Amino acid sequence: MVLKPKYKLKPGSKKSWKWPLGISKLGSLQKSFKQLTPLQKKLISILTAFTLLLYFLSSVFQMKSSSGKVYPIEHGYYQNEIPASRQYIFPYIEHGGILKEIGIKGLFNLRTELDGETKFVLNPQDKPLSDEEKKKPADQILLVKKSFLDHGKLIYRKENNHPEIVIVTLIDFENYPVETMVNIVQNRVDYAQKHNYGVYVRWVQEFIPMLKYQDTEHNYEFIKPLVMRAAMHAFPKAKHLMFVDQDAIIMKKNLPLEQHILNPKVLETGLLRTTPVVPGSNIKTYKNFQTAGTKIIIPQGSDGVFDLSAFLVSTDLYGKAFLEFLIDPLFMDYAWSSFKSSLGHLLQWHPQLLKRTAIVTNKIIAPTYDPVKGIAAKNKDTPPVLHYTEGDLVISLNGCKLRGSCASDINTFYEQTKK
Amino acid sequence: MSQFSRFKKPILVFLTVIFLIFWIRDNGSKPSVSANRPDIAQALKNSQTVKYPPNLLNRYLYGNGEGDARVDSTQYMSWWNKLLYKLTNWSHEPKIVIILAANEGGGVLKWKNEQDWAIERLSINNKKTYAKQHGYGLTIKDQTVAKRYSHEFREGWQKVDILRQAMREFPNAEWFWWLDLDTLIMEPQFSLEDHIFNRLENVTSRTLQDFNPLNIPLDIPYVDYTEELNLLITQDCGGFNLGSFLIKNTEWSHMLLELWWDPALYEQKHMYWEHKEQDALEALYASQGWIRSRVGFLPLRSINSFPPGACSEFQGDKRFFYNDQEKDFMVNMAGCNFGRDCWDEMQYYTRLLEDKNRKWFSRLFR
Repeated sequence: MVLKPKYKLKPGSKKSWKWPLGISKLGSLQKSFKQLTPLQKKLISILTAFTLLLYFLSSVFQMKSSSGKVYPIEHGYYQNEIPASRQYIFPYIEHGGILKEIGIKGLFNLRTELDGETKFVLNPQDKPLSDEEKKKPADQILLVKKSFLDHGKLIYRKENNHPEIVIVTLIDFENYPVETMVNIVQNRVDYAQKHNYGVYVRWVQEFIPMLKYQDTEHNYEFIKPLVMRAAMHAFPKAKHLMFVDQDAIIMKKNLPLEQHILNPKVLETGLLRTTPVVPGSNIKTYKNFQTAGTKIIIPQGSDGVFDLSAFLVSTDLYGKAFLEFLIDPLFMDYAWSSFKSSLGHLLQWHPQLLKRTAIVTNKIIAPTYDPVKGIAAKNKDTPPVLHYTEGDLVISLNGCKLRGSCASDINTFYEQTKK
Repeated sequence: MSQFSRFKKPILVFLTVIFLIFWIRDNGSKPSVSANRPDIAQALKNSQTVKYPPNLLNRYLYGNGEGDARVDSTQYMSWWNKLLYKLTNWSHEPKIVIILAANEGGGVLKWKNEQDWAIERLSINNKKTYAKQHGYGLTIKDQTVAKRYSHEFREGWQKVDILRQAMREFPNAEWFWWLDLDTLIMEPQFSLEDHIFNRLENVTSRTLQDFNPLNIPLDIPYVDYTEELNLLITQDCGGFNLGSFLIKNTEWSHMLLELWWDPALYEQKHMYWEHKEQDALEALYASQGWIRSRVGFLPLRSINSFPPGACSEFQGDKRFFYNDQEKDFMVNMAGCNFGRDCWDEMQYYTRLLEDKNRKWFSRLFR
């Protein structure tokens, strides 16, 4: 049997499919409404208005009762915080000389623990100096000390035009002359100004109370995650943080990070796949690492050891978890031989972190300056592969302490960037 | 035939609608994932050069990074599709999954006697009926003593492994409810939505202000209490209790489960941490802000009431003990195998449960 399509319903014909449901009844409802007297209409409208009012009122009161719990807002190591006026946060570098005179013993309180250990402690409730107090003529040393303690309370809270990338640096008033520190900070600010980045510079000595072994000489690297976490808090809307060591200078100032290391294609060129995480380890970086999901970028030197002259951390959950685990007091208490070994442990034991950590060659971020080979290369036309050459983003002066030339090297390379 | 011919039009309309529904549904479920996500497109491109498929090894890679729920199966659907999907519950995947840790010890160190078997059966049946009644998922996990958890730095690792396994098993579930074996749901008519999730901010406390048996510091740096709650636990007289807790399926939870167990922490503390994973979590909570930001505390009696034998030094403290007059949801016979009789307690509460839920007509079927 062939089914013939049979259209009874021609376009324009008045007959149409009647809905079995009560849609047609709506019309009759309208009719019955028209039949009502004005008084009845009024009554109905008043009743509806009243129910609506009740409904709104009840929702308003419910809102109030649900938000009854008040929790403290997020803060850093200090509970009281000061809003920063500019996106370049750095301490009064000119205080370096006086701070050196005061010394750490004058800056923090010493507390003797139950087991007889004495430790420098930080007072979380410390109140910042008010503007009126600043104006009052007071003891110069006290003011310097206070500004040292208040520097950690600065938070950049402006919403609009918030920098997406923040350059983080530590400076050390005990080992560097003031002019060198000025050059270091100026270098970061110059770079940040070009690309609308933030700058976050702290004194190394500010973090002494958070350390287990409280000296900046041997435990300097343990301060790096501390300052990174502080920067994350100080710039709440930033997306990425880049740590640049004080013994490093940003050389190619017109190269934004978005076009460089934060671009997956560029990152791919420096990525180390199936490389041991630490020298001699069976745990290797992933062969199928997906650069799109990168949250942490850590360079390795040519010897396979982490080179933390410059590294990047994103400010989301993974960055927070990574840094806060590294600065967990119990984790820091473990007898690590160095900060690098604690970092190596964390990445090797936690694939969820390693999966998001791009381990790259340090050539791509901050290659090391090699004074001997640098000269040799110029003479013999054999460019050193992994050392700093012109055109790299950052120069790391790693090893300048052994040469005893940190300050002079920083100054020479800073002068080069100004040309 | 002719008698049916007048129904032709309604049948035609009906069939068209049915066809349209299926057509739209089919269209929507096609994975056009890479269209709006350049990172995934890149990963797919990469996967052609690399041997491994990205979805297997990197299945948790693509979150938004803020630690929120990773999986939303309706993410790439159009709005009408989403509506249809939600109204009809096409997925049939449970939003809440109960993880019941059964077979504790597995008879490795001692024989399981008749009573052990009976307790297990009662407890499993109790959860089964509850899950069925409310449409939750139930997965029963085996807690046999295994050699790989026998090293002193690895004791207690099992719970974390089981949780992660369950999260792989139910990737689209929203919440997981961990339950120890020695528990009974006493009010099966309560749904978790009404009991907890719909009034989450009201029933939970995010700080330890009110009840802090361990004297954990109340204020630590970098805690953001505006983040959503992802882990709901209770505290008994001795601190955190992980006999019954809820964990949300988010990036944050995966990160917590990853970092919960770190040998560098555990090696230092394995002599002091008697309660293994509980102590490890307490330590993380005490010092890490990102963890504290998403942990909420429920009152013990809301999902984890104790029988009078547990916390016995706090006899009469109303915060801890099961009260059937006030309709406590759950009873957890925590620590009943330490000097108490599990079978006795189980029998008592099962009988109570039966009494409470006896309907007038159940007499007829005696």
